Amino acid sequence: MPVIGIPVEMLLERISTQLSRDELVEHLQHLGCDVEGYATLRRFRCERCGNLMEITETENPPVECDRCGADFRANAEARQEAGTSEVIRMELLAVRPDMFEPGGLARVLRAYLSEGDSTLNYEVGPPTCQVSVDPAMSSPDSFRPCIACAVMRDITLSDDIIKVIMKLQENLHWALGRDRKRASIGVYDLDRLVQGAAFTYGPIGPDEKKFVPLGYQDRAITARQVLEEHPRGRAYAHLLKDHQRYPLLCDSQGQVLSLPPIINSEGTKVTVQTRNFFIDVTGTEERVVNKTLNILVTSLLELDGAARLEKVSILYPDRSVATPDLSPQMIELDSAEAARTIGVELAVEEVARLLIRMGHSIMPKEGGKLLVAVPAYRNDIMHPIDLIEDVAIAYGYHNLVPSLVPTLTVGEEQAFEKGATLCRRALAGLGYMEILTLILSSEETQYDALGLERREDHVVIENPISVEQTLVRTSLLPGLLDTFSANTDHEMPQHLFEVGRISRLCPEADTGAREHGRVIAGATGPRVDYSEMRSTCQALLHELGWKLEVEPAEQPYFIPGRGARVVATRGQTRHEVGLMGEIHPQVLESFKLTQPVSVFELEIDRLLV
Amino acid sequence: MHSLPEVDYQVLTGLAARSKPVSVLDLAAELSLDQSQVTATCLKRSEEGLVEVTEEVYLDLRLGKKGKALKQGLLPERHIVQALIAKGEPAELPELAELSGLDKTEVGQSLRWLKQKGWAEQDGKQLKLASEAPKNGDKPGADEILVMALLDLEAASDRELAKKEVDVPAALALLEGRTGIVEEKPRKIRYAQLTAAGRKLVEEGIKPKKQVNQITPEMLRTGEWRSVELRPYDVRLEAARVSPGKAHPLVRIFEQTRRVFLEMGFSETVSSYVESGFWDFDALFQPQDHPARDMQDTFYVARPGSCHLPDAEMVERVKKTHEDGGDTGSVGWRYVWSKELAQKAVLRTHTTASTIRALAQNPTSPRKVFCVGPVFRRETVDYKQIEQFSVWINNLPPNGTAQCYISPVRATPLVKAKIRNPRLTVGEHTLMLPVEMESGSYLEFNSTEDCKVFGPDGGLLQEVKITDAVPLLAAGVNELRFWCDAADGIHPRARLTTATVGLPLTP
Repeated sequence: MPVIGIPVEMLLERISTQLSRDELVEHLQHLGCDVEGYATLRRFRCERCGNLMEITETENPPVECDRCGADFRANAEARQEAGTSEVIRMELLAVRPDMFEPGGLARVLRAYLSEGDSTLNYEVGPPTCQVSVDPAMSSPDSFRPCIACAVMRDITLSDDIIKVIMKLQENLHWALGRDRKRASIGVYDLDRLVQGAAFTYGPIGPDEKKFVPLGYQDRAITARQVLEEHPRGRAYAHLLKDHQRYPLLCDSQGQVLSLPPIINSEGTKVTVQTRNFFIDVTGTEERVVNKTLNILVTSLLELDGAARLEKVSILYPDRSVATPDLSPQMIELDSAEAARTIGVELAVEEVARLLIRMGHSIMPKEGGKLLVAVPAYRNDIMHPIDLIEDVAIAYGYHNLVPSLVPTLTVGEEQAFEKGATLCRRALAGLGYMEILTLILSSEETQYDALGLERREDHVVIENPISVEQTLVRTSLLPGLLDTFSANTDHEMPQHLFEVGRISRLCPEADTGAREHGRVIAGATGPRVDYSEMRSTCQALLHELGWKLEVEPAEQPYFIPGRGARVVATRGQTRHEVGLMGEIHPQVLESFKLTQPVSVFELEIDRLLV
Repeated sequence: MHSLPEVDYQVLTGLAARSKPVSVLDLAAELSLDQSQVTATCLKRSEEGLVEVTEEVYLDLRLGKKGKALKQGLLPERHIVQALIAKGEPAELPELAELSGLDKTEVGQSLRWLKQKGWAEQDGKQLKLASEAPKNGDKPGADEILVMALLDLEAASDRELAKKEVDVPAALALLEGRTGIVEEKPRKIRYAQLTAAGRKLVEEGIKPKKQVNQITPEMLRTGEWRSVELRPYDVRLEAARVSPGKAHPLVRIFEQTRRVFLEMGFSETVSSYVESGFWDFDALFQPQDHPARDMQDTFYVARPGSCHLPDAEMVERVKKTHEDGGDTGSVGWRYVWSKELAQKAVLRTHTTASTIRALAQNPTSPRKVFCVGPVFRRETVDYKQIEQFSVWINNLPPNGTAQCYISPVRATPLVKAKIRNPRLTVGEHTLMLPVEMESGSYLEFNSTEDCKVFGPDGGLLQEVKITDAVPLLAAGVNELRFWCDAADGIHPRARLTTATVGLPLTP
């Protein structure tokens, strides 16, 4: 999860309760935030575009502007120190994008601390602007059908507020927009646009129209050029790779606002002088687009209490809507059900009070039922159970008293785990030390290094993170040899074992693969040989209730004449359960081992019957 | 009759046969015992007042490499003087080698001594005899007499040589500053003599008693142990290190966790590492476009690429719940649910996949299940995180709560570091090994002539020249200290093995 820094001063000045630094952290943790602590950030300003950049104490100052791309290495003057700011660092709570910035977070805290103004009625003025949506936005070759817009007036901007808005935009792109795929946001200086009717949202051909993208001073380029040469264009070009035509938002004079979801135009950009905003959110799912807009505009109202919000009419080919729609979502909740689920005694009034502390409004109904008005900026309430979670959070998980589960059931171990425990005890008693090695491995390690022919019946990872981890292991042997190899400078002899699972393809299994329990033991040292492992193997089988029988067996990784098949017998029952032997010097060499190694590896599953 | 350990008996008897002090060396030779054994016994008995030990310091002298190579024991400058006399006039420097039969380096090195002894003078490129030059037939110098005397002996003490009329102090004064001709080392010689008390003890009668280290079954069976003395050990000494076999620490935590659940009546479930998107995500209402389902975070499986879904009715219910909430009361995610995505195989990202499978099999009756096992996240492998970690989960249908604990797996970082100048101090003497060593390399020191640094793979990196003398153990308690220089902030760990030769010193 990304970590955000919430400016402490901006947060505290929006709360009337006096909170100490520690109390603030405690409340946030009770609300579900993963707080890392306080930090002081150094700030730098880009003289070219005014962008503020912040770094932590351990980071180096930026070498280029993360907004306009100005190169500070070539032009040191363009980067100016801009003081410090104290922030509270915490992980983004992905389900609560309404808590991503100080305004929204203060709104949550005020309600939680019962500061009174928790029933929120944001005023929204009637529309003065209109956006017409081209029907082609729903066609497969230019699919981005949804748009929601808003106008905000009388905003007073400062560097701090701009910084907060930019971060909020970025984090909403991550949490709701799925990195701009489902939803992307544009904010523009309304006074640079031709206001009123006739904004258009429609597709254009890649070379149809030129505009100056953000950061490009005066150079107008086509959409195709943006995707090919602009840093932002290249970063997000993959979102439009299936498009023959690209979405474009223009005003009535044909001035380009943006090429969603890639970039805004330079001519409409917001500066510290901007007083009025035009905001758009475009995307593929109407619910997400609307939620994103609701969260953004209500957060802006929290950040600047003097600002006025205004709807925008959206004219789809078949209908028209006005966004943002801040009317609450109404959900009925049974307070008895809430109390039962949480496992505490709660009267209906108490449940109502707790819901109010989470920012909801309540209309009581008969019979212990509550009608809950969920604010339009909440994205995580889809079901009454989500309200019950809110009740539990307000009640405080720390106030819940653990108690025993009343249902009487008899616990039972998995057979494999029982066997694994027996193997561990026996082998530890024989002086072997347990290891746990990585489950992911590669063909080089599993086959080539052992001198085996490559096989096909292993699980292959589609998106491996390194060439060393491309499959799920089919043997514990390479992990054991790797461990010996990493410990050649420790005292000899060494005795190790591992109990673990390997995987093989299995068409009959519903997942297409099946795991098999294995135990491996091995020894290395100057006088280690086959007979030592044979003794150990016999002792282990004895502990598991089997007798050892041995048949000679050749393996490429054993010295010829020193490898054997392990057969476990009990009365008339005979199972071939594995192999043991002395490792071939060729294999020792490929694992960089300088002492002889002897091993056995057995299938556990068949020994546990 | 006093019973004494065998060696003590022999030493005291040997000393009793003499009225004068005898050198420990001679006594050891006479008794056919090891010198260190006899020394230790004498020192121990001297503490009891039975033996008086006196020490005398002498010089051990022997020829060095250059000394052994001298012709007839004559120094090179003598050869040059003889050559000049034979020529009868000053000689050019370059021709001296041929005239004297020496090599050029020897000639070069000799000029200093010729000048110092006043035997010759250099005039430009010419060398001529000076006033002090010896004539043919003159007696050799004291230094040469010493060399000649040593040519016949391998080593001799200054005292022995004085008896042979060698003026050792004069010879050494002349040789001062010249390396490799004569090597001198101060040595200690110990003399032992019985004290009155010692003699009295011997006269009262002493007998040897057998001392043994190890009791044998034979001794126990025959009762022989009664007539032997079991030698006491120094119980403070280190013994060989052994390490026990044991379970992996993480496994011990798994075991504890499993035990807690089992004791509370939970049953253990198991499921495959390879899991369908359906069970890993969809059945848990995780949206299909959730960031956790990105290729960035989850391992997808190319083979087997897709999984079988459970019965159509269950799949349909999950699909409906995602799309519009179905009959659950939820509003749903409001998108078109993809069956293909649900079929895609992944490496399970949590063991909840296992518990939800267990619940699906048995949705109504009370059942308590848990699963402890590895899960897979697509993270770069470094010492802080490996891509499999372990989660344990319980699940309590039909109206239960779920808890989840995650334990990151940490491995110890390996820090590359350098150490410099490892030093071993014994008592007051320090042996410094002037080397710089990287992590993993090792050094073998056998003697000042034989000291080598090897790399982690055993390859020879460097031969080291040692200038310090090797510290010797003294009688009594020895304090050993090992230390080295290292970079700031690093606490290096080095392993040192020292071996001493001889029997243990008795305090």
